[in-house]
Amino acid sequence: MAQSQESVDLILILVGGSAAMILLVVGVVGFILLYQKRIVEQELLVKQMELNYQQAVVYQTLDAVEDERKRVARDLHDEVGAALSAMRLLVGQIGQTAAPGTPPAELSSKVKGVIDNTIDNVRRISNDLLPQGLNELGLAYALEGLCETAMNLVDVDIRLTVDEEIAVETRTSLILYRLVQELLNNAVKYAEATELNLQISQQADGLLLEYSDNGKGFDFSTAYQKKSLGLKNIETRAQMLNGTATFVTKPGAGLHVTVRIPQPIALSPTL
Amino acid sequence: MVETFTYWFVRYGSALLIISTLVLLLRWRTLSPGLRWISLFIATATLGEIISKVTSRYLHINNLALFHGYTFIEFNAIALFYRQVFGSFVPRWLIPAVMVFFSGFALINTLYIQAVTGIHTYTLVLECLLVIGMALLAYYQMLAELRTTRLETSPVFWINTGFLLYFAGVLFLFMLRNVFIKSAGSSFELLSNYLHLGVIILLHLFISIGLWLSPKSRLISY
Repeated sequence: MAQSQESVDLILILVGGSAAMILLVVGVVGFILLYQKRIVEQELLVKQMELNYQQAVVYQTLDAVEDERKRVARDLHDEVGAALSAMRLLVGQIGQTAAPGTPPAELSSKVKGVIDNTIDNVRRISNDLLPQGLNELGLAYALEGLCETAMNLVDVDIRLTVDEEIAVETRTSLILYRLVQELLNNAVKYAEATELNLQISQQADGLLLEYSDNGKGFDFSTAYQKKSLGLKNIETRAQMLNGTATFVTKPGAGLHVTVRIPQPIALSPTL
Repeated sequence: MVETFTYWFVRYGSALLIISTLVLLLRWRTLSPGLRWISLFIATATLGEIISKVTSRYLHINNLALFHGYTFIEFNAIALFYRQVFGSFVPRWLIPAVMVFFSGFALINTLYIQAVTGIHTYTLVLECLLVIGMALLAYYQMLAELRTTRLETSPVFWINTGFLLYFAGVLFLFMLRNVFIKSAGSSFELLSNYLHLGVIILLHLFISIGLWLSPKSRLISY
């Protein structure tokens, strides 16, 4: 009797022990499967976010292209188109009032004035599309022109420092020019600054662009979320050169922007 | 033959603890602060096993009093390991509080409740429950934080699993022995020792795998 009880106990402990261990192992395996499932879900979420971000960048780029086209179309229509219409009118008057072959001096002067204004407008529109002197005389020259324009529009001192060693290819020059243009536009329109510092230097690991002003500053996170002040444009342009843009600002504390372009910029033949 | 193997296994199987000791020594330089507390656990286990064999087999003296001290050091080494693993996932005071609670209970139990020359069953059960709790919490932390994409390469996963299987196995064996099994024949004693040794070896194998997988860079702490 004692023997059979002991046998029962042994079987019980074996079966019970095995069942308990199997249950534990199943639990651990279940945990592993659940963990893998969560990892896959998280990776999917990250990929979806990357996709959404890239989609947003593409849409923003397309929007920016469309905005630029609208601006050019408006400028051409409002200024060049209107000037050409005025010229047509004046030329028509010349034909009515003057003796054949001899246009009146006054009408001639007016036509010349309209033509000069039209040439200036076409030059301005063309300069907006492709900055004057950027290809022929380099980035530093083009940036000087930008700074002069900004100083003519508002009462601000701009200190521009560009390393002599810098030699950048055309695409990089244009992107950097647009980046500085965006910064100066913001400074002119919103910053209410009296001093601006702009420095472009060649570092060991690439190009460094530093901008700072003593303006009124702003709440960066709010502005970034509202996509205002062209912050996204500045960031996107830096990313187009595989670089990064960092902003340091707060209300009342001016703005400091650092743009790092990581690779050494290759020399380009002068165009 | 089976009986010979079983006898040999029960008598000499604990020598397999040398595996975890060797791995610890080989990977010492690569161990993160959390994994270094496992060295205290392994050292305690190895030393405890040596002292147990010497005192029981050669000196023939009751070594259960040493077992009380062994449990105290063992639990605190495990708790210190989990303290590093949890980091800020749990309140910083939680693990030290658990250590103080267990240490206090173990001391009171040894001095006033159960005989120092007997098995401190209450302390053992409490230790099993607390370690199982910490192991399950570590699993929850892994699920919540998802720090690694390949769980099988995480040292903490292996060591944590080893602790869970060992202490759950020991608790179950303990319950069977004291609650459900009324008779205590020699066959049962042998089987009980056999199973206990089995889970000890499993624990140290898992710990060895975990230590072997510790990253080469000590900056990684998980």
